[in-house]
Amino acid sequence: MNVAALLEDAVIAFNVFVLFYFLVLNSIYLILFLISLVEVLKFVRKTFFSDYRQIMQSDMTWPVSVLIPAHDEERTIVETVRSMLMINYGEFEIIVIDDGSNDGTLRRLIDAYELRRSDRPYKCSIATGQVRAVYGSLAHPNLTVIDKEKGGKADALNAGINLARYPLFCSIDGDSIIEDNALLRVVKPFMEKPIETVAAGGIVRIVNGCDVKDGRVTRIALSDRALPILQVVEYFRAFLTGRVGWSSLQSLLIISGAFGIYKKQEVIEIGGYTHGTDTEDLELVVRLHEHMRRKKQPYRVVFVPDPVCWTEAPETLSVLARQRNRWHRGLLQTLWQHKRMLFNPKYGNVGLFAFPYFVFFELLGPFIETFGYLAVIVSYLLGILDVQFFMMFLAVAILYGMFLSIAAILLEEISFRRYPGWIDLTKLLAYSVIENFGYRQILSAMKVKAFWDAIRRRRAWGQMQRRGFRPDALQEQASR
Amino acid sequence: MSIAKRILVAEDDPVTRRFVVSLLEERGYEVLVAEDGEHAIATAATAQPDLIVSDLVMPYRDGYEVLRAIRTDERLKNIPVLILSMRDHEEDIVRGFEQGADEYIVKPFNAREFVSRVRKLLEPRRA
Amino acid sequence: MQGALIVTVLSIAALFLVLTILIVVGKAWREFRDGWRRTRRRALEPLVLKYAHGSDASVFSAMGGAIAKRDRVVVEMILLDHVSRVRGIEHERLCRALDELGFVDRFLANLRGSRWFRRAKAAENLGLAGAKRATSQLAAALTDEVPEVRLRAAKALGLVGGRAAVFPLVNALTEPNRWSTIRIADILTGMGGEVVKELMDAFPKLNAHAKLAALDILGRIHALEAVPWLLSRLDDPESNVRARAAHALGAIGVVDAAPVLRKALTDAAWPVRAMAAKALGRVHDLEAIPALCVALRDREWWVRANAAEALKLAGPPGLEALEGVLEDADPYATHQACLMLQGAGILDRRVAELAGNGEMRSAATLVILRFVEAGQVSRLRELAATHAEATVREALTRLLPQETATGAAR
Repeated sequence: MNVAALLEDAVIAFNVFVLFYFLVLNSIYLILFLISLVEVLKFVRKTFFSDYRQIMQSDMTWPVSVLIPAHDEERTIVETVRSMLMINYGEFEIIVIDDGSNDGTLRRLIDAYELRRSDRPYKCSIATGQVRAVYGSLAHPNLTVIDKEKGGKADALNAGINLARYPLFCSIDGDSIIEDNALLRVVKPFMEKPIETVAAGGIVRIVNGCDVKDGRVTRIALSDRALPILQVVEYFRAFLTGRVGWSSLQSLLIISGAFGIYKKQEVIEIGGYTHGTDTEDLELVVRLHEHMRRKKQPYRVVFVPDPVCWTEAPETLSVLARQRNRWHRGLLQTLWQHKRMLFNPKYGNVGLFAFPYFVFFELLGPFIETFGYLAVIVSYLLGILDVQFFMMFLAVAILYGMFLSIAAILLEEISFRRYPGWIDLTKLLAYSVIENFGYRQILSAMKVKAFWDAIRRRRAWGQMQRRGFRPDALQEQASR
Repeated sequence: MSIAKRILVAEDDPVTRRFVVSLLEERGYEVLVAEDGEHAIATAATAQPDLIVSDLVMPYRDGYEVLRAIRTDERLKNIPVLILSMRDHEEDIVRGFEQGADEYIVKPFNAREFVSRVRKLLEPRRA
Repeated sequence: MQGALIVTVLSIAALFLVLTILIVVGKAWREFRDGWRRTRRRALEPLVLKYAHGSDASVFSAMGGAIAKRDRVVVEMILLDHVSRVRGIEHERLCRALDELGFVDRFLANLRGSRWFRRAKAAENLGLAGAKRATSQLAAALTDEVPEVRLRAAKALGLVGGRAAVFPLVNALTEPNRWSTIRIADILTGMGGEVVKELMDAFPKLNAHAKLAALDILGRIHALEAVPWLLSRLDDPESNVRARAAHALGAIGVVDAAPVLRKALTDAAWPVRAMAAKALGRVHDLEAIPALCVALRDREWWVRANAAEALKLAGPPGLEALEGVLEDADPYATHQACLMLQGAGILDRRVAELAGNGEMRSAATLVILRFVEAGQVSRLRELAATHAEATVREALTRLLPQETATGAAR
């Protein structure tokens, strides 16, 4: 047989495969969107205004320990703690874990809050790096500061968990802004089903372009720059159509590290956060699922679309690349560590649907996408492919994607409507079109590189070095 | 022939704010409004009200900080402060008084009672 | 292929267009409607509030006659917003207005509607409106098939109050499958004193979980009239019931309960002892101090911690007793005593006394040495480094053991 002809056949077969890949992927998104549509409407209808006041005043509301791990954050730590002390909630405590900062983080805290050494006894339920001292404040009896040697974010959180007094703990990134009522809202699933709910997460929104004063967002608006807006559209799709859908299918695998709330007891049972991945929050939730399924108890991990955590998104491609690189490496590490869950009916919906989805579409997908695009374009240019197939490919890969991006904006408009201006809406609509012409493809390429990096580094050396807890933000400041 | 007494209302919830303002204006008081703690402190400093009605949970500076700012300012430290708050736990009430509040009313509140307490706080202090 | 392509492209493009139009039109409509409502609200709200603050017999006269049909939605919003924020006479007037203007009738009609969220909203509104005449319908809604509606109806009954409302709610406590006990307990607590008798009557019929909730409720509403009944619960064969009853008595804080609580300090079950200790802390019974000191040596941490806290709350006599406990052989007891004394500021006071005269100084030294023995040195070290007076710092440093290499807190 003619080798060239065989090769041609193979290439065409690959192209058809890629076409079907996109068809399936986008259809999964479509199904998730439809599920999310129903869920969001139900959520909006179920939420009446008096609920939050009642949660706040009720004695039965579970108290929450808020953990704030910090490393070298002297510039912002006092403000962050101040705004957290003023959140709307009944009974809560704030635990700041200073993870071996080299700057004045601890000193600033001691001065600002009149901290004194405390002999508060606590149980070392999870092994951590050494805790040098524990401080309490007379003026703010619900503030505790832990001074420990450097151990990384996972270690810091574990130390915080050890000291936490209350049955629920909430992990918060030092530089994120939590809305006033966010804690009330994210705790609601625990009040509704106290025994079943083990973890809940809120939505992360992008603060670039918003007016921020004293640690609060005073005016919500879109940035002027393209990259943040693209990420806003991307987050809409990921959160409003993605996570809401997965949550209602009982297969939510990710809770944002920036804002998540967990049942302390269960997390202690699984040994707390681990150091083996770059995304300790993702790994924790996956392990939580595994553990709860093995216990064979009914449980739920919930995504609440309402409570908002505002974070800063990368504004340059290089910082974005570093961020996505870390996320994707972490995804790979987590999925690999828990590979026994793949297609395993013992893990229910998570094992049969969410896990395979993440492996084949989130993890391996970028390869198919990147090579798929290249292959199809090259084939077309070489004349192997006909115009109609090419058009079909474009329609399925790009148009379909565009439709889903706009669907996500529709979801936002019928529910939360945080962006009130017409100009912002127009920008969002425009960028949801633009997103599919380049942004997504670039992200796929970044993920391919991340995969490659992960495999290479694992052979080279063990743990990734992380500068502070926000390497992306630090770089960002340098590049501004 | 008395001049209308001036009351500063610091409250972030717009509905409660409108309610309290209309209630006090109905009774003939001059009412100033602040939507958050920082605004309240600034307004108190410039306008020198005769009474301050303040919420506890407010943006930027909460009620306790407003109290502290008032009580440490020479010109303002004798202004009576009435706390109007949703927080009804014992610790909050005790803390409110410890920080210098003259009255503490829990929301949802009795409007007529509120007015009587306001009137009492505005009376000249018995010698 | 060509057909499939055309169909695909056209259908996607069409959906695209439809979605965009939906978004834009929806937003425009909403903005228009909200803007209009805001304008009307600015005009109508002062009139409604004037009626509420005043003493006009009827809301119609305050509003200047009948209300235009288009304005009804705005007036309803205004009334519901304010009625939830206020109590007393103004609350009654606002409720009366809701009734007079026919809103309550509309809510009652919606309560029988076919869509669940309308029924739920109607139930909630009836609660806000304090519509006593809706009680029987709300009680019926407690058996609605949709949980959200049942919950709103329960909350509404809680707000409406009255014996006719209490009875079905207490009944709901006996149906643990349908109802979250926590929610019903919350609602009953909010109703205050009128639930007391019903709870006491229904108690024997309640299941284990609900019994505990009932006891909690009585404690939270400070039901003085239930105290004798609660005291006899301390003889209940179930240890959980005894523990919760003790807790409730502590929450109510009547000193008459003290003798019985003192007896409960020696109960066989540790939760009962723990709650009795906690309650004695709330009740401020000086005669219990010796018994509490004994409880500091209890096997269970919770009992020891509560007993220590209770001694701290007893004021100076309790703190004196705690200082006495520092001499005790039991390490757990001394540990708790140290914690409480430090928390009450006594340790700081003793350290300051190191600068005083001979007798005071030696007494203070003894206390500090006990702390060192118990291993509670963090605060002492801090003071040794930072105290204002040099004599104090010197004296303290001499009393403290050598700093270990790590100097870590335990």
